[in-house]
Amino acid sequence: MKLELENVCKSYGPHVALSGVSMRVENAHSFVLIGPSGGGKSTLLRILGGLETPDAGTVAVNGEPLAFTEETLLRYRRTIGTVFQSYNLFPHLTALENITLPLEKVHRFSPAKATEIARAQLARFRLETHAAKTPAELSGGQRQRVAIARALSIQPQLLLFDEPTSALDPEMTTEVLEVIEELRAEGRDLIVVTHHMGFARRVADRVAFLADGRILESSAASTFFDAPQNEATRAFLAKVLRY
Amino acid sequence: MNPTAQSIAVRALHFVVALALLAAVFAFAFHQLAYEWHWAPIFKYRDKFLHGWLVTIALSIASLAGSTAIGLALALSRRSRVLALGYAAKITVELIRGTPLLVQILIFFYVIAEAFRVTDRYVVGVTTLSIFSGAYISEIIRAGIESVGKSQLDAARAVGFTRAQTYRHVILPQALRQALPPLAGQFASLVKDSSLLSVIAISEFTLNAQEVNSYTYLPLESYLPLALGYLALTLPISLGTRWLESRTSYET
Repeated sequence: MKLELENVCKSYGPHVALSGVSMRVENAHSFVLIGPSGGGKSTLLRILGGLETPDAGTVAVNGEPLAFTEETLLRYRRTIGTVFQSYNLFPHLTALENITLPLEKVHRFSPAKATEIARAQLARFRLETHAAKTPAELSGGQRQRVAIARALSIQPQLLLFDEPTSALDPEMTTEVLEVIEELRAEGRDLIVVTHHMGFARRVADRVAFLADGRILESSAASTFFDAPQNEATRAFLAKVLRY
Repeated sequence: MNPTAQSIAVRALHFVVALALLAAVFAFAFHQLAYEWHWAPIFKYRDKFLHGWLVTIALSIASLAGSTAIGLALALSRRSRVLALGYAAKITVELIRGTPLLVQILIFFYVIAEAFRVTDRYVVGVTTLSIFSGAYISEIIRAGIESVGKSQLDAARAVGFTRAQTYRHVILPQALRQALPPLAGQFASLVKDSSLLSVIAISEFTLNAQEVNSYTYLPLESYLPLALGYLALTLPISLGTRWLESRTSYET
């Protein structure tokens, strides 16, 4: 993946979420955003996912500059797979329908082809027996895996994960993180916002540390975790890695 | 005897006791009246009652369809980005909900239908009832739409749905499922409200009972079948509503 951000700013009323974020990420398959809550990670991810329009600045993904108009964002979002913290799935549809509906309505596959793709995706995440269940009948971990299957089914150019395990029990967290690690091993391009430092270290090619709406440090994962340059990064890592 | 069977028996017993108590009150009241019942003259008009009852059913079904369409249109208008449309819907809903149906029927029949040269009183009746009930339904649908969380909208945008697709495939199915029990309740009201259409001489159930009364001078015998006829329609609806309520608690 290739990301180029130039002076990206975003405020919600008086709250400044991003105050001039500039960075370049190249030749990386997985990019992990970490930092304290409220530091701007999710906002940055939502901008990269085409869900939020920055107040100022430019963003280019894989060499394509993003024009922030509703039509171009809509077209862009259709090339991105996004997995949120929770409530990704549509509760009135089964696991299978959750995957087939966007394939049919957005990507114009025939119902038969959409079902075939969806079944293959469910099978790869060992969810085939749950195809006919609604989200309420699935565990939190299964729900997130269905959400990942849905995101993957459209062959996205990028997969975005916004704290995909924050709403899960520990054993389910593992089940979801393993899936993401598998995707990383396949060479998929991922951008992940996470609080799990161990996981970040294992999957990240590149890491950025965001606090107070700024990127304080952005470097290769090994450098970032073994020899952080920034004082605030060091303090953050020391704190979160203590236990 | 297992506990569930026992509790069903106990509940059935209590139900019968409650029913008997209510029946006793009414039996006493009618007994005090020392009323002499004359069912034979009424029975002659059974076809007239049946005809009125069927017209009431037809009016209710037509108005149900009309009021659902109007309710949906009003609810979507209130959420429209066009401010004038939103205000128009809001004003309509407040006017309709704030005035008696009787007045609305008279205004629609004698003023608006006259002005627009609509001569069929059944069309006027169904339209008035649809608008009246639609105002209430729009509030029910609006509440349903607002119950769909922001995270669902995010998910819909993230998979690339347009605004129209988001309404069609994500918001409305969830909103309607939420709204189904109150909608069924509204339908029960609609059935009873249709009785007011008798004031513009629509030959529905109530009007026919009134006519039977004027032929026979037997008000109690004329109106008791009316009560039973409406109950036969509203009771299944309200029981169906209970069942729907117990089914729709699927939410996340």
